[in-house]
Amino acid sequence: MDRRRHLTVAALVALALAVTGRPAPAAAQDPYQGWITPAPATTPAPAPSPSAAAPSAPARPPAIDVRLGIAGGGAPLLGELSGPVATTTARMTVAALVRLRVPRVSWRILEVYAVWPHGVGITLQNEDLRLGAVRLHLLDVGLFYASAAPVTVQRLERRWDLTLGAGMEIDLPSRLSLTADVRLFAPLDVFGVVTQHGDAARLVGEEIARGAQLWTGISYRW
Amino acid sequence: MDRYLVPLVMVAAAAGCAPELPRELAIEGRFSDEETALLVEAIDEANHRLGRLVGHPVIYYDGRIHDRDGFSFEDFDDDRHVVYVFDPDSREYDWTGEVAEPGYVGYATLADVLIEHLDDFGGDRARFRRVALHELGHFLGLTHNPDPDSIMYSGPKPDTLTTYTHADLRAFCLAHDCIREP
Repeated sequence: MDRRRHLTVAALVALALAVTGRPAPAAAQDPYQGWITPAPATTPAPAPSPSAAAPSAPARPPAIDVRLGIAGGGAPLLGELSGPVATTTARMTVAALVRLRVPRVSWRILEVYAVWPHGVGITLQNEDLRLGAVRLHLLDVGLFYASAAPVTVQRLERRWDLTLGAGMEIDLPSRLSLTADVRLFAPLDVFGVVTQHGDAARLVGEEIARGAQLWTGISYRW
Repeated sequence: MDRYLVPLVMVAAAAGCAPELPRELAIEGRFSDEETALLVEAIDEANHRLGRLVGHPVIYYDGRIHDRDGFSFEDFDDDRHVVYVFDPDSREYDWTGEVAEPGYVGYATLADVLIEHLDDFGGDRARFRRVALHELGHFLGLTHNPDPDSIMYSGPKPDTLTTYTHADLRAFCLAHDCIREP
């Protein structure tokens, strides 16, 4: 009696999964498939037989996805400004970063990073687009605390910066990922800069834009 | 009109547009004694006309300073507020003329004030003083006023104008906490 009940429940589960169109991923398939990212429409539904019921449940993505990485780069676009002010922006920087995902719950990524030798920051990223192993986060917003010195426009003495950026991750086998990020560091007190500098605030803006840091790196994921 | 202007100015003031009063202001040592005296007169006038509205001086004269390099935009970033010589031969003057409006004789932000030498005004002491009052207005958080008879008007002003007008005082009280009616 019990055996028949189990078989019935398994068949009902298989039928429900077939109706919702959720595929049964292979072992090598993306573990996020069917959870956060939409399932491909072309995947055939498994037959509602008792033998197919057990492997038809999609693999659950990890509860927490942590990536630890290191990246380096600089400001490739930084050149002479259009006005009579010398640039005071870091040309080369190295960053260590930790990215935390809770993939069953949210698309968002929380990043904590340190830029040597400037300070530490926190960024909220959205995983906007996924193309196979490539993940794009296109609007990263965060705060940076310049414990030693600001990354851009160091002539403005300040502790807090607003950061804006975008980036890409490419997942490789063996838990490695390549990362590429571009990040702007602007004084958090933007209004104060404009009132203090008047027209010359344009030069601050120009230096912020040209001083955007382009980082490439590698990360390891758990 | 004030129905819209007052909330706007209040928001701007809350965001940091209107500086806290009184403010300290030094004068660059390259100004001659005569020019320095005219600038201090302008500070006195601001204290007399605007200070009575808030019940205390609006600017403290902070003495003369000697900046060997003259003015540069980096000086906006230091904590000291100074009236600098606006040198027509400087790159800062050229750049400001390119991005803003050519032919400036003065320039000011909440950080510092720039005014040309008296000679560049053709020795016209009254005009030098008017420009000083205008730039001090900016230093105190005032913006340009559309009233052509106002000190804070952006264009040429009447020769008879010697101090802040009622329009300037009203604008000042929109940005600051006045205890008297303008």
